[in-house]
Amino acid sequence: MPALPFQTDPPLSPAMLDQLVLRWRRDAPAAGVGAHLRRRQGHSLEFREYRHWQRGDDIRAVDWRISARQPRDEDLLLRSFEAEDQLALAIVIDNRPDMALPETMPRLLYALWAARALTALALSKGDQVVLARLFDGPGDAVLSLRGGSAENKARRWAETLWHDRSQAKPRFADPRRILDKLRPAGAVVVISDMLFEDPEGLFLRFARRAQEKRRSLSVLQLDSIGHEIALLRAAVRFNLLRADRPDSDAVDEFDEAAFRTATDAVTDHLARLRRSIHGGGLDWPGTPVSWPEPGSVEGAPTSDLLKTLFIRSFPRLGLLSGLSLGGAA
Amino acid sequence: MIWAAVLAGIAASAVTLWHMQRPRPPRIAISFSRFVPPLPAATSGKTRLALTVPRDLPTLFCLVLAALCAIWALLDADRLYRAQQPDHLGLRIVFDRSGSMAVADGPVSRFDSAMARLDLARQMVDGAGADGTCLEAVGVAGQIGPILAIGAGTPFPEADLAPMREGAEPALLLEAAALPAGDCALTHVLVLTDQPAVAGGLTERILLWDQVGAPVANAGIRSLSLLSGAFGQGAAELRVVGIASGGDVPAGLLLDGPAGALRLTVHGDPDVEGRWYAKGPYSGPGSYQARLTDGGGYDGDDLVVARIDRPAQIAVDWRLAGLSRPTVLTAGAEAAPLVTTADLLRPQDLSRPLLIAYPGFDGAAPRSGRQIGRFIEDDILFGALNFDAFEAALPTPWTGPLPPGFAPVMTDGSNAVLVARRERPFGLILPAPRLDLPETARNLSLTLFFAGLADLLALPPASQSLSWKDRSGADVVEAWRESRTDRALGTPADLAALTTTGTAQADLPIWPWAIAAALALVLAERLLRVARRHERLA
Repeated sequence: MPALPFQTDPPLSPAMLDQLVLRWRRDAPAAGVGAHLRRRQGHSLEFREYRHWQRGDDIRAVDWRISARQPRDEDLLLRSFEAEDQLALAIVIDNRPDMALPETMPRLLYALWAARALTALALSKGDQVVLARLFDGPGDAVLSLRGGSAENKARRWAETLWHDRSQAKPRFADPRRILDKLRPAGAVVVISDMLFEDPEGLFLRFARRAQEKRRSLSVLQLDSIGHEIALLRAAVRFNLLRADRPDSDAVDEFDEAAFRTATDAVTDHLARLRRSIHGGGLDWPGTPVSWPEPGSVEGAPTSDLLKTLFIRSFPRLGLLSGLSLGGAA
Repeated sequence: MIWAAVLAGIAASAVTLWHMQRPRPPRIAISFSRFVPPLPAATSGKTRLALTVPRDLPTLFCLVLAALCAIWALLDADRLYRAQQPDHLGLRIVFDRSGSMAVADGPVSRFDSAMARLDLARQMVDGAGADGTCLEAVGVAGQIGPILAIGAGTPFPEADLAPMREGAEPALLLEAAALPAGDCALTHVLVLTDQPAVAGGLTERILLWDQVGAPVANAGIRSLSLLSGAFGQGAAELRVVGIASGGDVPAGLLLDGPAGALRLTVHGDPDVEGRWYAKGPYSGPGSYQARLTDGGGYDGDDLVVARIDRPAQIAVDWRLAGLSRPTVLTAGAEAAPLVTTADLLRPQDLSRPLLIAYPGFDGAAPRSGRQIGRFIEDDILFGALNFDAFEAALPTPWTGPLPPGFAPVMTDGSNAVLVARRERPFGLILPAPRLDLPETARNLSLTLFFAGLADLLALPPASQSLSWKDRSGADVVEAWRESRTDRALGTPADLAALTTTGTAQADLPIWPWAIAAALALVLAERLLRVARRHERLA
C-alpha cells in the first residue's frame, strides 16, 4: 500500500508533547473522590468498597458470592472500584465530508491530530478516553480507551477515519452512546467547524446532556471560511460545487457581496447554535482556530502549512488548561 | 516534404489554439457552500479561446522567440544542414547500360559479369553488420535513368539494367554517382562499367569504380561523309572513316547506295593510329549504307546509314564568252548560279547568285604608280594570289557605280573598285579572265576568276543524317562511343571497402528544428504561466 500524503500522527515532537499538560479545572464539584485522580501503579481497576445495589446499577457489577451471604435475598452487593471515579475525556470528531475541506488544508486532519494529541495527554494522566465520531462513517462510532494499547487503538481509529473519509455521511451517529461511556465524571470535547445542520436537534440534546452532572462540553471550532473565500477570490471564475447541482458545469464568478452574505449567515448560525446548546458546562471560545488566508503566510496551502498551523495553535488552546468538570448537577 | 510541411502547419495551428485556450475554471468545493447564495454566472469565462497577453518578461521573451523561430522556418525553409548517420551502409550502384556491355566477356557477357559483381557487392553490404543498410541502382546509357530502390532480399531489376542500344560516357557515370541521395543515405557508390576509371572523386561518398570485360578487338564506323569533287579536277566521292580497336583494319566494307552495292577497299590512316578509311563513288542524292563485314566484338557500330541529298554535279548558267564552262559543271537554267560579263547582265539577274566579270585585264603594259589599295583578307578569293605579281599586272577597276548590295573587297590606290562582293544572294564582281594575255597576267586572271567561281559554287554547309543500326535495323545511339572495346581491364575494385562502416552524411532540412524550437518555447511559456498561477494562489 503506498504511503498516503497525510498521517494522523500529530505533528508535535515528543518533547513538545511532554511540555503540554492537560489540566482539569480545580473548581470542579467536590463530589466523588475529587478531580483528576491518578491511577495507582500496577492496578488498572482498584477495588474500593462494597455497596448495595440500586436501581440503575449495572447488574454485571454484582458480587454474587458475597451477596449470597447476606441475610435477605434481595440484598445485593456491588463491588465499587476506584476507576469508576476517575475522569473520562470524550473527544468527538466531526467527520462530515465537508471536514475534509479545504482540500489543501483539510480540517479533518487537524481535528484528528488534535484528538490524538489530547488522547495522548489524557492517557498520560491516567484518564479514560473515549473517541467518537459525530456522524456516520467508517470506524467505531465510539471507542473507549484505557491501558497500554490505548494509543495504538487511537491511531488505528484515526487512520480509519482519515483514509476512509470518503465513506462518511452527513448523518448523525447516535451521540447518546458517547455519554453512556462517560459515567460518572468527564469532559466532552467536540472538534468541528460547527456548521452542520441539526434539524432533529440530536446534537442539541447531546450537547445539553454533555453538560449535565459533573461533565462539561468544550468546543474546538475550526474556521477555514476566510481561507476558502480568499481562494475563490483569487480564482475569480470557478465552478462552485454544491450539493444541489453536483454535476453542473456552470461557471460562477466571485461576488464579494454574496460571500459577505454567506459569512453573515454563518455568524448567525453559530450564534444560534451557541445559544441553543448553552448550559452550565459549555466552553466554546469566541475565537476559533482560523485557517490563514493565502498570502498571509509563506508557501502554498499544503499539508506543511497545516502542520505549521497546528504547531502554532494547538499548544495555545484554552481547553488544555481549562477542561471543566462543572456542569449542571 | 509537402506532407511534412502540412503536418508542421497543423501542429503549429493546434499549438496556437492550445495557447489561446483559456483554462477551464477550476471546480472548487467549500465547506460552507450551503450558506452561499447563488453566485452570478461568469460572463467572460464562456469564451474558451482568447489572445493571451504575456504577463511578465520571461513569458514575453518565450513568445517572441517562438515567433522568430516560426518566421525563420517560413523564410529559410530551404536551408539544409549536414546530419551524420553513423553505423550505416548506403550503396548506390551506377550500372553502365551502354551497348558495349552486351559484348561477350568470355563465355558470358559483360552485363553478366557486372551482375555477378553486383550480387557480390550486395553480399558484402549485407554481411557488414551495420545497423542499417540500403541499396539503390541507377542505370546509365545515353541518359541517366531513374534511381531504383532495391529492398532487402528482393531480386535485382535486371530488365532495368540490361544493355541498351546507346552509348554512355564516363562523365555521365560520374554524374549519376554524384546525384543527390534519395531515400537511401549513401555511404558508398559502386560504378559497374566496361570503361576504365576516370578521375573525379566524390567528397561525401566512397567511390568504387569496377571495370568489367576483357579486351576485345573491334572495328567500327565513325563517319560517312561526302567529299565534293575538287572543282574542275574530279567528281564527288564518299568517304567512310572508322576505327580499329585492338586489331587490324577491317577486311572489307560494303557500300550500298542508289547506284547499287560495291565493296570498298579499306586503308589504314597513316596519320592516326587505329583509324582507317575507305572511299567510294558518289552516285547522287539518296540513301547510303556502309557495313563492315567483320566488325569485331561490338556489332552496334558496324552499320551506318546516311541520307545525302547533294547533287552529283553543280549546274551553272554560263554566259561567259571568252571561257568555256568547265566539264564538271552542267548547264543550268534560271535557278542556277549565273556567270556572266557585265555587258550581258540584265536587271533581273541581280536577284540571282552571280559572278560578274568585267574587262579589267586589258593586256596593256603595267602602269607605274598603280598599286593595290585597301582590301579585305579573303583566303578563298586571294589565298592563291601573289599580290606582288598581281600589283604588277593590276587590272583596271570597275567603272560606274556598283550594283545594289555589292561592297568593295579590293580597291586600287585611288580607291577604285577591283573586286566587290554581295552576301545575299551571293555575288562577286571581278576582272574577267583572258587567255590571250601574257602568261603571268593570264594566270593571274584565271586564278582570281576560278577562286571567285569556287566561292560562288561552294555548297552551303548542311547537316547530314547519320545513324548506326544493329543487325535488326534498330537505331543505335552514338554507337561510336562504344567502339573501343579493347581497353585494358583495370584492377577490380576492392569490394571489401563496402564493409567500411563510415558515417553517412545527409542534407536534412533545418525548418523542422525551427518549428520544434517554436513549439518548445510556447510550451515553456505555458509552464511559466502555470507556475505563476500557482504562486498567485499561494
